[in-house]
Amino acid sequence: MIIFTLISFSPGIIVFGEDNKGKIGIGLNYPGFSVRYFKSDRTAWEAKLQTETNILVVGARLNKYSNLRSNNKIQIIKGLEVDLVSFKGDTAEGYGMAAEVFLGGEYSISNKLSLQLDFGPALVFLMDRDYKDVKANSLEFVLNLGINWYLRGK
Amino acid sequence: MKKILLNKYNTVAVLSVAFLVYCGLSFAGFNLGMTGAVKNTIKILETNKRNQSNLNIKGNFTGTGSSSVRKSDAVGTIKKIAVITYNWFRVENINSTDFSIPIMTNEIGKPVGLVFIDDQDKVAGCLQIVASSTDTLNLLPLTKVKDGVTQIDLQLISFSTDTYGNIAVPEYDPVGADKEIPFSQDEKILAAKITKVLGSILKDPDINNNGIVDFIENRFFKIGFRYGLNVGQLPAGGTDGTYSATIDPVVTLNGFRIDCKIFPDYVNNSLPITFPATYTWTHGSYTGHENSDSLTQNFDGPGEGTVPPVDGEYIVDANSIGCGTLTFNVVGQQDAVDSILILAPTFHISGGKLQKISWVWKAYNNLAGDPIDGSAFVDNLAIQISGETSTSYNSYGGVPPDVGYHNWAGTTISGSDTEHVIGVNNLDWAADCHGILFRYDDKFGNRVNVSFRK
Repeated sequence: MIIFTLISFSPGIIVFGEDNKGKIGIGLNYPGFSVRYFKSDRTAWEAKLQTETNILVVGARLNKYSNLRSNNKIQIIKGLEVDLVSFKGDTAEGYGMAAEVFLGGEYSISNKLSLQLDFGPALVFLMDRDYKDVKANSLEFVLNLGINWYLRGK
Repeated sequence: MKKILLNKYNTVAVLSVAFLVYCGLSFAGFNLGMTGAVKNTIKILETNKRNQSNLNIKGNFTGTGSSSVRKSDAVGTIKKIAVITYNWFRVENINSTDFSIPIMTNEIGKPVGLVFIDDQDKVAGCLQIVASSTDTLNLLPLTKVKDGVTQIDLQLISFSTDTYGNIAVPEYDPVGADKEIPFSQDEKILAAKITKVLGSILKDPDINNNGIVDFIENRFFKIGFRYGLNVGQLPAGGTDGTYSATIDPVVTLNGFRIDCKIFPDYVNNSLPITFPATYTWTHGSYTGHENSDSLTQNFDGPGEGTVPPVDGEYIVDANSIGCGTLTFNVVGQQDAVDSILILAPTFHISGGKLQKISWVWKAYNNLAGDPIDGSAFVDNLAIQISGETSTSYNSYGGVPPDVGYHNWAGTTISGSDTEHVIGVNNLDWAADCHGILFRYDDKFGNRVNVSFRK
């Protein structure tokens, strides 16, 4: 709520779209963080790490931006995420992969701060470390919420 | 001013919409972050694992008032259980006062040990059930499980110590003639005696003496002994008939080898082994390993020795592979030797040719007792017959140079088999059968060579 209140009343003056190339952003998401780099004005590569008790997810994202005509402070993001996973459960320990297609938006709160929300289907594949024939595939729906802080604009 | 206010309203509106979308999607079952999706998939994987297992071993620690009592002088919460067979191990995490361990396909048919590990990564106890007034069993012999049994409930586990280490005693003993693991009392005692060496490792599994349970370090240091025995004489036989071998009242030891393995790696290493000082008889100080045998890591022992190994500390220098000095405190060695299973064979001869060999399994220390159920103890058996100067026949056939001069395609013999039909029809009892070697691997990780000579 504190974060919500702060960002609600901060002036939103960043404008997405035409001058993103070279921009670097650090993101805090639940439950992890990421670093993104704008390869072009509308394409950003992102390295991300998420961790919870006995779960580690490390991956990469390709974010494609496009403007919302009615509001230049909001950009639509669509993209692809690929992750490597390691885990330790109650009766299984192992590793795996995940891939997600997502759609969402990023809203600029100030010239350096933005809020991001995206969601989409993810395919998760896990394998037991000791028993290679024990596997699981699952189609899950993932919701990501995060705050991005841009170190520099162009 | 008006613009700033509009900006504020826009921000509030967008954030409110985002917040509502977030709540709505969360409520609709979306996972928060990829870790949430992974968490769900772990549950599916663990269900799959459980479903792939036909047997679960369960129990609880609730009777102790906390998660568990490690032993009288310390209290700890049980956090892990190491599941051990003679050739593999794994560590399961547990998060409550109840546990349920799926026994996997490759563990069914083997003895399974459970080592309970506390939140300080110390051994709380190794599962132990009483076999007799002098013998305890530290591995559940899942070599024989009653049909239809899908769960064994050990009930309340209590922790204490004995002379050799920390033990975990279940309220319910599942090993017994009318129980889930239907061993007769004789078989139960036999299993207890021949697993004492491994049991002593499980009670104090810090073989590299670094204060950390070996299994937590992803290591399982194991030592075992392989015996060669001269058991008795082949019958003189005749042209036609059935003739039984004579078993000597005192079995002679041909020799033995120490077999040290380090799991999960280092299958073929050559590590020096030092015998206890009390073993004063001749033995090789170091004889290397057999690369041809994937089950073999290190061997040491008297090639022609007739004195069995003794209890005491066997020290393996594993510094060359970064595992330090391994100290195995071997106990119950005499029990293991006395309880070796041997075959009592009968030879079926027709027209002077050996047609078939049949047998029953006996405990060496109880030859007059009932036959032992080979399927519960013996994994595989090979028969090698010698002529006067060379091998005349192998049950497994083989490829040169490991073939008999009466060669054939060969077959496998399991512990449940009680006869072998000779694969060739010209194996002459008088000329081709001067000695017979039965070599078996038992289901407890031991290899034994049993020889008969004419």
